[in-house]
Amino acid sequence: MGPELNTSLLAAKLREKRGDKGLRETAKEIGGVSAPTLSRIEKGNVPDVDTYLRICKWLEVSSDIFTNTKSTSSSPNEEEYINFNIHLRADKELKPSTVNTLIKLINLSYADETNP
Amino acid sequence: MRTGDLIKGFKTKAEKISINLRRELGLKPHSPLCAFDLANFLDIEISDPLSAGLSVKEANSLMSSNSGWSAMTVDRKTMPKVIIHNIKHSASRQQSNIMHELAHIICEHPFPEIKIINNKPLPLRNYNPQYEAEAEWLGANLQITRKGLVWCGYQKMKTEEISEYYNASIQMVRYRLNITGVKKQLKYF
Repeated sequence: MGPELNTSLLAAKLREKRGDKGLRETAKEIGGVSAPTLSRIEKGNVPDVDTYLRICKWLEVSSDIFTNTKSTSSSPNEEEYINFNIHLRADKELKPSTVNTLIKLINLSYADETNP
Repeated sequence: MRTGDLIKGFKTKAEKISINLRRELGLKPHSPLCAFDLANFLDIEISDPLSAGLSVKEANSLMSSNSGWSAMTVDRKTMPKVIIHNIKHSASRQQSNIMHELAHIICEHPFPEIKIINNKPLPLRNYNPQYEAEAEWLGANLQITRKGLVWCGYQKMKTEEISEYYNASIQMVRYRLNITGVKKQLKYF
């Protein structure tokens, strides 16, 4: 398991559509997102799910457009939820490298359970 | 923290929980409560990134000051829950981090779901404002009860002394004094 979100592309699309508009005005248009959050995402940080979906809606694109892998399933836009049973105390937006390491840590924690 | 996300009655409930847990541990309502002791009492393991299996390089990167990470609770089906926390934070911040995670467990907040798109998990998390507000409030309350602050006021303790007594940061003490109304009530502070 590893992160597949193309944060550079997301940041670029966000900046492109924002154009000369200020962050505050753009955040208001997107709704439910703050200007500082947008700034951090434009710098490449990973947003939380709610923020990500709001941005995709504003960009008028599908939520899978920023993932790197091609779908091999019969339904390319199929979305599933699984429960990793984790509470996380961290900044709302995280650097991709931090997210990578957290995913590895989560995997290690669950590996303890399957290989005690 | 947006206290507006807290449901009516939660603050009173949080104070009751904090006092009851102290009572169960043989402590007085105003006593300091160590987060590690509380975790042990609740049968929750405490770990750190290195002990959990990350390499030294990965653990140091995760715990660096610019990573933005403080702690994480992992709920496992056949083993106790484990809180993995940033041991490079100050002692008082570690207390606050662990109390926050314990608060999520005590409140029985459901664990968030991770979204999968195109059969790959996205490294995104669901941020629930109400649950986060409750964990922030209860976590702080577990660290310093309202009764404790009133007691400290009667003892004429300074903010720095309260901070040391509860192993809490000065900011946490000031926050609790303001948000509980004790500062206004006692006028001492």
